[in-house]
Amino acid sequence: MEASSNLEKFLIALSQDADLMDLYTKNPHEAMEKHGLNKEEQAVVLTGDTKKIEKMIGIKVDARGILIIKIDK
Amino acid sequence: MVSNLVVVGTGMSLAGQVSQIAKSHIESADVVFTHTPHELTHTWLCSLNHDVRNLQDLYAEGKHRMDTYEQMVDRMLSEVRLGKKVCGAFYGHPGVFACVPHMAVEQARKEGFSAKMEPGISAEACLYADLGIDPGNYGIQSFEASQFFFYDHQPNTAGYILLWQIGLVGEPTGRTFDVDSDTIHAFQDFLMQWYPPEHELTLYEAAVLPIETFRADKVAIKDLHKAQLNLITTAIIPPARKLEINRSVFDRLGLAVDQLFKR
Repeated sequence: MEASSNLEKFLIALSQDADLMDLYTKNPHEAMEKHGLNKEEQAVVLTGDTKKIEKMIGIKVDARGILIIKIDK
Repeated sequence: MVSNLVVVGTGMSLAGQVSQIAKSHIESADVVFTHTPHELTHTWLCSLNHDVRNLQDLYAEGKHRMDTYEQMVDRMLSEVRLGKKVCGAFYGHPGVFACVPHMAVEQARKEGFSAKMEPGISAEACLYADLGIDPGNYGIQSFEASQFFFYDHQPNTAGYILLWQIGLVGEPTGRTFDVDSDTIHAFQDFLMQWYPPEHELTLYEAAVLPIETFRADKVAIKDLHKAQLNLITTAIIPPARKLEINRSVFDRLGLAVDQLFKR
């Protein structure tokens, strides 16, 4: 299940690349254009709404992790 | 000795907080088992290894969490027994508030296999960076919230208290992920044994996606029942009193208090 969309690839790259994050902070449209995001994807990213972004990628919103904690002693 | 099982931490952020050695273990494993907070992290891991298997499908409402955890361990160990090089990739730090990686390493060693753990950037590490808290300033006590509630712990109110998994506080069955409002009320009353009702705590959640910001919502202890408590929420209670000098130590050492760290 490798990243299939430009949006997925962009988010993964953004989490790893300080220069890309600097560019995104200064000029988000330029950063997203460089990674091939279309206008609709750019608009959703700029909302900052993670649920909308996850929906666009096709991620189940309830997939967020659960801490694995053993409380039974 | 080559390890048959290595459990590594992938950090909290999507793909940017993994160590070089952890990434190398993920890349070189025959099979990678994952437990990560976001499906995109799983997607990223799939770019590093061709055989990545998610453990999250083992959770089920009504199923005891220890059953789930034991099945996670068994899934990993079954591949180790086949002679494969197995990597368990867990979000955050695999050994911090996470029993499955510890159980897997212990079981593998018990069966005669080589197993080890590589650390990762935990939610606690992110918390210090995001909130500007240095544990060295006043000291920190860190508890799983339900354990703090159910067992006879005593908080040091001159230091910080971290309460992990507060969204599940007081959940006694280990089979559900819901806690009712009465239980939260009971927990806030419990905290008010030591803290004033107006004492503000911070509800923290580390960011996962790079476009997200971390959560740091302040709420008075008396209003905790009104707050949104998620499975990934951590409560941070700041000090409620000043540090007090232990004069008996100064007497024993023959030191004057005003000499302490004098410049």
